[in-house]
Amino acid sequence: MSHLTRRLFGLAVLVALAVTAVLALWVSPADAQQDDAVRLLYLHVPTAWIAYLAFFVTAIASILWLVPRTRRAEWDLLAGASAEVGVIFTGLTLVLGALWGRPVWGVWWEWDARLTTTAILFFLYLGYLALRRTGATADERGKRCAIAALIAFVDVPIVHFSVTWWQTLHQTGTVFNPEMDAEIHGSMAFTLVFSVAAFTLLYAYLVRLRLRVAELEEGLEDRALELAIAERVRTEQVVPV
Amino acid sequence: MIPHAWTYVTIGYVLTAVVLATYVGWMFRRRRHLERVLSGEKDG
Amino acid sequence: MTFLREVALVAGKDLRIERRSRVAMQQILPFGAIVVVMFAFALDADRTTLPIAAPGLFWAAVLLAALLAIGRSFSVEEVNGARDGLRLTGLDGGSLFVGKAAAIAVELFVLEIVLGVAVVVLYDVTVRGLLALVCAALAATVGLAATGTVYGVLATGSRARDTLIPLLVLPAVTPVMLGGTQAFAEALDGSMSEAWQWVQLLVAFAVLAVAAGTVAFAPLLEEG
Repeated sequence: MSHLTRRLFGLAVLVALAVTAVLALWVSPADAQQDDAVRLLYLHVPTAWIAYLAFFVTAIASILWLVPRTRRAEWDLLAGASAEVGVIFTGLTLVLGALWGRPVWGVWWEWDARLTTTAILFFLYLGYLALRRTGATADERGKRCAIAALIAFVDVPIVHFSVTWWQTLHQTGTVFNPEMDAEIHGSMAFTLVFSVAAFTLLYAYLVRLRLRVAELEEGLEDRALELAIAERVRTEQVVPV
Repeated sequence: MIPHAWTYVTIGYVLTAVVLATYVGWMFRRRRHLERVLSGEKDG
Repeated sequence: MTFLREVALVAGKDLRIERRSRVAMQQILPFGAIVVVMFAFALDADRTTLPIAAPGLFWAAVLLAALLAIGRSFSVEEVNGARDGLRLTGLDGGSLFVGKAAAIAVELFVLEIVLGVAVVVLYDVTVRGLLALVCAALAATVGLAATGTVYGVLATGSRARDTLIPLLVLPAVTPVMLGGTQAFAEALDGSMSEAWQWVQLLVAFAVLAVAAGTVAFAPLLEEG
C-alpha cells in the first residue's frame, strides 16, 4: 500500500466514524424504552461484531499457517495482529455493555450466558497474546499460538448463540435473530448498519497498521541475527592462525 | 425517562475515542521508531 | 507397540516420578487443603453459608491445585534433556498426550477424594447422590487433565510457564467449574435428574478436550 493510499484510507475511516457519531448522537432518535441510552448500542453492537470478525480472521490465519502447504510467516503475524485488535474490541464491548446496562437494566453486570461467555472470550485471547511473547523460534511460536487460537475460537459461536440457547437477560439478536426479521426500523437501523460498516473499515485499518509494526519487528530480529552472524564471521577471519 | 442517560452515553463515546486514539498513536510511534532503526542499520 | 501400551508407559513414568519425588502428596495436596481452610475464613466460618457454597468452593480448590499439578507435570520434562529423550523414543504424539493427561487425572482424582472428605467434614455437608457426584468428578477430572495437558505443552519451555499456565487454563476450563459446581449442587440437593444433565455436559467437555488434545499434539511434537 503506497503512502498516499494509506493516508486516504485513514482519512476515509475517520470520516466514516465522524459520520457515525453524528448519526448516532444527533440524527437518530431516542428509543421509546431505552431513552438516549440506545445511542450506546451504535458502538456496542459494532464492537462486538468486529471482535467476532477479528477472532475469525485469527482462526483462518492460524489454519493457513498450520497447513504446511500454505504456511507463510505473514499468516502468523496476521493472526497475532488481528487477535490484538480483537482483544481491544472485546474489552470495549464489555465496558460499553456495562455503561449501557447500568441505566437500562439497573446493573453494571449480570452473570448471564452472553456476558459470562464474552468475559471468558476476553481472557482466552488475552492468554493468546501472552503466549505470543514466548517461543524461542518463530516456528515454535507459530505452532503454539495457532493451536491456542483455534481452541479459543470455539468460544465465539458459543457467545453468539448464548442468547438463544439459554434464557438470558440479554436480548435475542435484533438483526441476526433466528427468524432473520429485522426488528428495528428507519433511521435507527440505518445508523446501526452504517456504524458496523465504519467499524469494519476501522478494523481493517488497525490490523493493517498492527501488521506493519509486526513485520518491522520481525525484520528487526532478522537484521539483528544477520548482524550477529556477520560480526562472528568478521572476528573469526581476524583471529585464525 | 432514564435519568443521566446522556452521562453514560458521553462516557462511552469519549472512552471509545480515547482507547482507539491511544492505540493508533502507540502503533504510529512504534512504526516510526522501527522504520528509523531499520533504515539506520542499512546505511550504518 | 500398541497405543494403550504406549499410554501406560508414559503415564507410568509420570506416576513413578511422583511416587519417588512425592511432590503431589507433600506439596499440592496440602495446598488444596489450605485453600479449603482459607475459604472458611473468607466466608467467616458461617454455619449456613459454607454448606451452600461447598460445591463451588470444592471445585475452586481443585482447580487451583490442578494448576500446580499441570505445571509440575511439565517441569519434570524440562530437566536432564528429558524433552529430547522423549522425542527419541519415537512415541506417537497421541499416546504421549493421553499418557500425560492420564497421570494428571489420576493425581487429581486422589486429590479430589481427599479434598472432598475435607469439605464434607469442615463445611458440614450432608452427602447425597454419591453416584452422581463420583461420575461428575470423573468426567470433570478427565476434561480438566486433558485441557491442562494441551496448554501445558503450549506453554512449555517458556520462562513464564508458571504464570502462563494459569492464565491459559482457567478460562478454558470454565465448563468444568460450572458443570462440576452445578452437578454437585443438584446432587447434594437431591435433584438427581438435573445433576445427571450436568454430568452429561461434563462428559461432552471431556470428550472434546481429549479429542482436541490428541489432534493438537502431533504438530506440537513434530520439531518441537
